[in-house]
Amino acid sequence: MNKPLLVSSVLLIALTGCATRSGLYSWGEYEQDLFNYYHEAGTQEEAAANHIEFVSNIEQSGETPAPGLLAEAGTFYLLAGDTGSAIKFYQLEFDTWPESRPMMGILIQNLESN
Amino acid sequence: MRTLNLLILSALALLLAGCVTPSTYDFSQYHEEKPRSILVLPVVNNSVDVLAPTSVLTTLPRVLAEKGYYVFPVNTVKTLLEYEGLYEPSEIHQLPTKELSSLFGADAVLYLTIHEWTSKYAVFATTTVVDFEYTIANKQGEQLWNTRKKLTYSPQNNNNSGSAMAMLISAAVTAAVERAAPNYLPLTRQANYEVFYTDYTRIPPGPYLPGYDEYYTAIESAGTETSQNNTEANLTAGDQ
Repeated sequence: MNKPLLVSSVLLIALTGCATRSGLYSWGEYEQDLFNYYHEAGTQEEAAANHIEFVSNIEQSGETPAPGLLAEAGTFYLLAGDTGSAIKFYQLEFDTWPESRPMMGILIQNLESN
Repeated sequence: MRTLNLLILSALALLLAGCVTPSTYDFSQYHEEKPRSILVLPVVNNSVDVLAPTSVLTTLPRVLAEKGYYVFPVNTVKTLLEYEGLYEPSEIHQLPTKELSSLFGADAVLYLTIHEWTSKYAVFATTTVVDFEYTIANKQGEQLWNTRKKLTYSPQNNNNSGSAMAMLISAAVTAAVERAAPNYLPLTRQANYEVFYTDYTRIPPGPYLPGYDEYYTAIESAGTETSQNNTEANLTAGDQ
């Protein structure tokens, strides 16, 4: 290996080293769905359905859904009046993320007692 | 030969210094708390654009969760607060942090205030500006981290060929496009990315980021925290 090539390889590695962005989770269209849900009147149901479908697919594939995404699906169900499905997704969030347990526990308890 | 090696080393050092500027931010209390979860509250809006706070809110879970934290579901949090009669973000930010953190069981709470969110129209260029203030508090409400970020975007008009009239028209078209679909969201994401990932304010890794254990081992084995140790630990945590 000649010197200039070595130099440029080292530089390239150094540069890519700091340019790398971590990717722990799949986010699908979560941000866009939320944006539409908040801002695009008439597309709320579609945004909610899109999110629920995405999270359900992730869940079934065995991949860990990103923090909060299962609970967001639960909330979309809750707002649509489907308490049973809401509880199901809150329970999934509870099981997946220990940090969510205080919040999900109270939510599930309150919904079940109503 | 010796000179060349020295040159390479200097170039590398410069490059590394370029992406890992020495941390001068005092994270000592943050390191003691080691928060695992962050509650992102609805965003306070001091701009006149009513879409700004919910737009910004949608950009926060991803940037924080990819840093390794459990991020409470922002829309679920917003909805539950509304069930409690709390619709106004400024009202929510006034509540004792302790009350909010215990309601959700959060280790830390992120407060974001929008100071500016504008797209200033001029005939031949439209400049978009975002200006955010970020604060992370521990569950008792003590501030662990705080920063402010203002970014400006003005589309570059690269069509330099042709007549003066053609240039004027193309500039006007660019301004119109920017006015119709301002670059608020890309600018917002860039601001988030800079404060959490690249600036000297970049926050320590959360528990789900590979390198988290090494980061805190390095902090603890150092005993006293010097900026040198912070830099090394950040390198480890970001190097995956």
